[in-house]
Formats: sequence, structure tokens, C-alpha cells
Amino acid sequence: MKRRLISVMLAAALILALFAACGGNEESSSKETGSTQSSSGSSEAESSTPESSSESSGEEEASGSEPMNLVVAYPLINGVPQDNKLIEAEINKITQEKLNDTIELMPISMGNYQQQMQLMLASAEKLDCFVIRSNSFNAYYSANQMTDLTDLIQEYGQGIIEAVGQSFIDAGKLDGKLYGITTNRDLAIGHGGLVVRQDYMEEAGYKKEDIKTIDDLDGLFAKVHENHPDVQIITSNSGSSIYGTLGMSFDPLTDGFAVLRNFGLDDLTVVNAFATEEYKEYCLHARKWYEAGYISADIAAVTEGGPSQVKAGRAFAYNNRYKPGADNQESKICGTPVVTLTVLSDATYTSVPQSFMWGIPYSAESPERAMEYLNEQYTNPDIMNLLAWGIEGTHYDMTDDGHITAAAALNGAESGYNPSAGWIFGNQFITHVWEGDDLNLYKELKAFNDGADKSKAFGFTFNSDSVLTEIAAVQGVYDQYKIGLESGLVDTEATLSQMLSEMESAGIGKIIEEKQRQLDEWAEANGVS
Amino acid sequence: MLNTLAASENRKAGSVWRRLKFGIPLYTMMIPGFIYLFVNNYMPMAGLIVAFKQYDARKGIFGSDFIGFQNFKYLFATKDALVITRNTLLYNGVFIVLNTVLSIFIAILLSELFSVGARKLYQSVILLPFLISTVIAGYIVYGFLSADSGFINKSILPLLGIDDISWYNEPKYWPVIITLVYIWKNVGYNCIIYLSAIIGIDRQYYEAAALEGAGKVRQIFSITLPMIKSVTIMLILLAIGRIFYADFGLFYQVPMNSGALFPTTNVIDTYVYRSLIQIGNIGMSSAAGFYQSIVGLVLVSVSNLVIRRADPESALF
Repeated sequence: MKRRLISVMLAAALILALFAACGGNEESSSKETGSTQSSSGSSEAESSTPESSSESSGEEEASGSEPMNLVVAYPLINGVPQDNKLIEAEINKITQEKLNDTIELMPISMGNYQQQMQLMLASAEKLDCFVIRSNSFNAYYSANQMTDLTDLIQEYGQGIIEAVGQSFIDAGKLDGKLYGITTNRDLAIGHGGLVVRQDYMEEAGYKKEDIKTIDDLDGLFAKVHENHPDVQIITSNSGSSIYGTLGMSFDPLTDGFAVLRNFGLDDLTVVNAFATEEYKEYCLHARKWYEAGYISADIAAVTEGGPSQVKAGRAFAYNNRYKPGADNQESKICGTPVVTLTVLSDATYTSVPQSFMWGIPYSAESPERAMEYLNEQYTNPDIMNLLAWGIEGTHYDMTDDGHITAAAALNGAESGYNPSAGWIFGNQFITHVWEGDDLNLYKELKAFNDGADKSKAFGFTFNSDSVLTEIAAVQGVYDQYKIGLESGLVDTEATLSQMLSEMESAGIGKIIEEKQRQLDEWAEANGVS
Repeated sequence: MLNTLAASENRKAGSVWRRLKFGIPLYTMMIPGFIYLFVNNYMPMAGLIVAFKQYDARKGIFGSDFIGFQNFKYLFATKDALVITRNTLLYNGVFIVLNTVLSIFIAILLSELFSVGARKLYQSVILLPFLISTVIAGYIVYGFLSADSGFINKSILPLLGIDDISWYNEPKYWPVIITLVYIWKNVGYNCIIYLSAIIGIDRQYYEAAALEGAGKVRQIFSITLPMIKSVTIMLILLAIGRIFYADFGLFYQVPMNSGALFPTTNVIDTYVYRSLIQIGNIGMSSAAGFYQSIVGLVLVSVSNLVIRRADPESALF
């Protein structure tokens, strides 16, 4: 009897322990809400004014007297900076006074961002503003995970419209409604960009101005190869195919399979990207380079970035997009002076501004307050500089001529806040310029954005819901052949026709047809021809 | 406890309630484990329904619209479907056979070692690759196979007078490379399980056999192998249950995600990963997982049935 009693008690203890372990968090959080409830209850009993006034005015005016905590998530290449909390506290000083909001910054490392966002959205975690990347835009839309911002931005985001410009804002529209707001940064691409070592180029007797088309590269490559036979002439930047930035001359219309030729400047006829003359010509070029020994046979397996290969003295050039300030930026990473050659024109199309946009998730507590905060973030230089560069005196100092530089207080030690991503927070154009860059950098960048050719289909986003199966299948085919073809590792004619026939059976025709249909509808609704 | 239970059973045979009552403490002890299993492994199964739905965050998993088998279509949309199914099944089939045979072989070799110290040393050395991350294993392989600086292209092939081979562009070599890497990585782990089974065999059997004049080989075939039969069958059955799941790292990291190698390295997991990283559709990812589990369940049930026919003692259930 006694033994049975003991065993029952033991079992009971086990179960209790289990519940205690599982419910620990819940209990403490429920206690918290309990206490806040009781405090609000008492304040109600005292009939304090803020409570009642916020209730009455809550509908019309978003930023009421009721304080609110907003969670703001965005990707950063290196994840959470050490001094993130300090920045957060400084921003809160501003937002608490102006909007009665407290902000919780949630940087997530770039590699995990997509996955972590998917989890946060699926579980409806507390999240008020987040960065939408173009490759997730359609997925979020299909799962209805974004808030429609069309009216919100008119009411609470006039500052954003003014800062970014209506035309670039329109790039965040899908099926006529606005879901994402692009950030002010380089919103056009210098196509056909190739970053080359300046010393090798000068040694070969070439200047930047000598290179105008892809054919001009042949002579330069031959000369450098002769001078430095052990150096790989052209390598891919971070494992991607060289083609994407060096050869591509389309408006990719999101997926890059069904595209408009010549950056969409001429007409609105959707074609198969891989069946075009341009694509084949580029592949033949790559084949020629590979056979001449300019491209490594290992290019399919190398995942090391272009800059680090140049830095190690193993490569002469890698593909990259051009924008004002790019040479300075790339030279810093490469550890040696480099210049960017461009063999195609500057152009922009919907997917460029779409690559980073701010949006409000469906689960946001108050989309109005979130939009108000975003408006503040886009227009307030103090917040923008805090996010982009940190705290003055702690992370950076002003120089006499208006630049900023590493803070003297750091004594040469590594800064605790260095996201090197001023372009992601909304409005890079109102931030300081780091020493070494031209003080006019952002003016140049704006001129570059506005001066670039704009696709006729700018503002059109393909809704891929009805052809997801085909896109997955075509992607599978493309992944198999792209590096081989676009790096010249295989015979162009035979492989290209093989890939085309496989894509045909994977349903690329259906993607083109559906996209053309949507594009025609969009063109008619927006008066584009 | 068991004694009292047995005794009471004898005294009051047939009284189910009595037996239950005595079992209560035992059943109560089962509850925590059961709750854990239920919460962690059974409750999420309801979410599988999302594989048949057009997921809409505002409507939630259960409120979303039902679209039938639409999400499964992409798995069978191209000729890839055949290639990835073939690759997955063939690779795993080969892995199961080779891994079992080699693990048992090495386990027997180790068990025959007299020096305990030497056995521990060999065992650790064989286990080490299992503990190495696949990413690192991928770079070790790259060290061998790189076209410009690889050990094989620069040191071995010139000795044999063979031209350089561009390993990462030639699919035909990869079935062998992948299998070698898999065996190198996994044999040590399985070997430990077999070794512990072999060590558990009563030494008296071997002594008796030796007295009767049986040699080492005879002893292995007549004593060791029959004695570890149930462990072997259990491990094989478990492996068959996962035959539709491929070791993602092995097929993604080791071939360095090289597109040219897809004909021989693309398996269901890598195919799904590559298509969904582009699309990011929850319903379609769940469909892939659902399909894999159903095929796994069918395969385990069938092989268990076959084994039960042949040898009821060894069947799992």
C-alpha cells in the first residue's frame, strides 16, 4: 500500500514538473497582463482623461495618447549589431515624444531573413513594419500576408511620397493595390557592369572609356591574360552566373523567363528570354572566353565572392551592377583600386525598386500607427542617421567639411554599430556621407535614378499564382543549364536547344501567355502603349 | 510490483477492473511521455491539411480555401519527377545495402580485436567523419576534385597519364562519388550499434563452437550473424521508412549545388528546396512533405508485412 502511494506520488510529481516546464512562460505573461489590467482598471476608476480621450479619438487620429510598441524587422548582412539597443533607445527618445511610440528594432541576418519572416508571419508574431524582398513579394501576396497601403499612404505617408516620388512608389503595386514602399537608394542599374583591377587594365594599355561594348572586352582580356597567365580573367560574383549582370538586357518582369527585350523600352511584347538573339550571342561570347582560358572550369563549384578572389590576387574581373559610388565601394572591399566598366545602358524596371520595400504585415496591431512611424523614419534625418550610422560621438564624428568619419572615442577599435546598409532604412538621401565619398554622392545617385531609361512596363508586377507549377518546373530546367551555358563550359548550340526544348515542355509558353495577358490588362488600365 | 501484479492476476483472473487499478501508477507514469508525443508529434499533423489548401494568412490554415491536389502538381510536372524519384530511391537503396554490409563487416572486425584500447581508437577514427558537418565534407571533396588545384587532377591523374577531368561538370562520376562520401560519413555510426549487439552475445556460444572445431568464418556465419539478425532487420526497416527522404546536405553541399550535375544528384529534397526557395509557397512545401511521408509509411508497412510473413519474430509491429 505504502509503495503504491509512493509511486502514485512520483508519477504525479513528474506530470506536475512537465506542466511547470511547459507553462512557465505562459504563467508569467498572464500575470503581467493581469497586473496591467488591474492598473488600467484603477486608472479607469479614477476616471483619468488619457484613457477616455484615446478611446474617443482613436478612430480618426492614429497616434493617440495611448503609447504603443512597434516591432520593426529588416535584414542586415551581418545580423544584429552589438549596439543595437543603444540605437533603439535613441530612436525611442524621438518617437516617444512625437508619436508616443516605442520602437523595437529587429535586424535579422540576410541569409535567414526570408525563412524567419515566413515563420513570424505564419505564427502571427508581433510585427508592425517589415522589409519585403522582391523574391517573397508574390508569396506574401498569395498568402494575403500584407496590408493594403493604397489609402494609408495617402493619409499618413505624404512625407514618404514626397521623399521617394510617386513613380517609384508605384513599383510596389500588385493588382492595382500598393503593398510595399521602396527605399530611396540606387533605384536604377548600370547594366553590363564588370569590375576590373585598375592596375592590370592600365598595364594592358586600356582606359575605362575604351570599353563600350562586350566585344571591346575581348582585346582587354587577351592582353591581361598574356601579362598574367596564372590569374583567372573573369569570375562570378558570389556564385551567381556572370550573365545576370553582365549580359542581361531585358526587363525581367519578376522571374526573368518571360521578358521584354531592350529593358522594355520598345514595346510590350513578352518573349522567352532564352530564345532571343541577345541571349545566344552572350553565351557564344562566354564560350569563346572559356575556350581561351579566361574562365575557370570550377566556376560552377566556387561559392567565393568576386571581391575576395580579386583581393587574393586570383582574379582580374567580376560582374557587378554599376551605380554612382560603386568604384569607391568595391575598391574598399577588394583592397586594391578597381573600376566598373559598363557595356550596356543604365535602366530601371519594376523589380529594381522592388528588391527592398517596406511593408506592414497583416498581423500589425495598428496599420495606421505603423504607417505613421514609417513616414517619420523616411523623413526624419535624425532617425535615418541613427539607423544608418549610429550615434554621433559614439560611432561617428562630423568632420569640418561636412563628412562623417569613425568616432575619435573609438580609438581605432571596431565600432559597435556598423550595418553598412544605409540604403535599407528608407531614405539614404538624407543621411551623412562617409569620408572618402563625394559630398554630392546622393545628389548624383538621385540624378542617376531619374536619368536612367525606364521600362514601359514600370509599375507592372506579375501575379504568378496561376502558373506557380510552371515557374517551378522552368526554374528547375534553368538551374541545371545556366552556369554551364552562361560561363561557356559547354557547347552553346547543342545545350541551348536542349534547354529550350525542355523549357518548352516545362510550360514556359504558359507563363509567357499569362504574363502577356496580365500586362495587356495593366497597360490598358494605366494608359500605356 | 510486477510480482504482485502477476499474483493478483492469478487470484482474480478475468477481473479487468482489478488489473487496471493495479496498473494505475504505471499508466500515470506514461502520461507525461504520452502528452509530449501527442503535442509534439500528433497535433501538428492536423496542419498537413494545408497541403490541400490555398493558404491565406487572414483566414488561417483551417479557414483557407480547399484546392484539392493543386499543390502536388509541381512535383509531377516535368520529366524531373521521374529523375528525382529514381535518384532518391536508387541512392537510398544502395546506401541501405552497402551501409548494412560494411557496418556489420567492420563491427565484426572490431569485435575480434583483443586490445580494448585499439578497438576504442579504431572506433573513434571510423566515427569521426560522422561528426563532421556536410559543408566541411563538401570542401574536403572539393579539395580532391577541384579542376584547377584539386589533388586528383593535379597529383593522381598525371601519374596515370590521364587528362584533367572537370568533375563538377560531369554527372556520370557522381553516383560513385556520392556513395563513397555517404559510406565514409555514415559507416562509423551504424557500426557502433552492430558492435554493441555483437558484444552482447554470450561468449559461451563461441567457446562451444570452437570446441566442436568450428573456424572463425563458420562462427561468424553460424553464431554472430543469426544473433544480430533482429537488430539488422530493425535498422533496415527504419532506413526503408526514410527511403524517400534524401540526406539534403549530401546532395546539395557535396556537389556544390552545381547545375550540370543535376541528372545524377537531384533528389526530392533538393528539388523541392530549389523550387520553393524561388516561390516560397507554404501549401506546396507541405505537399512535398506530405507526399514523402505517405510513401515512407507505405514502404515501411509493406516491408514489415513481408518480414512478418517470413519471420514473425523479427517484425517491428
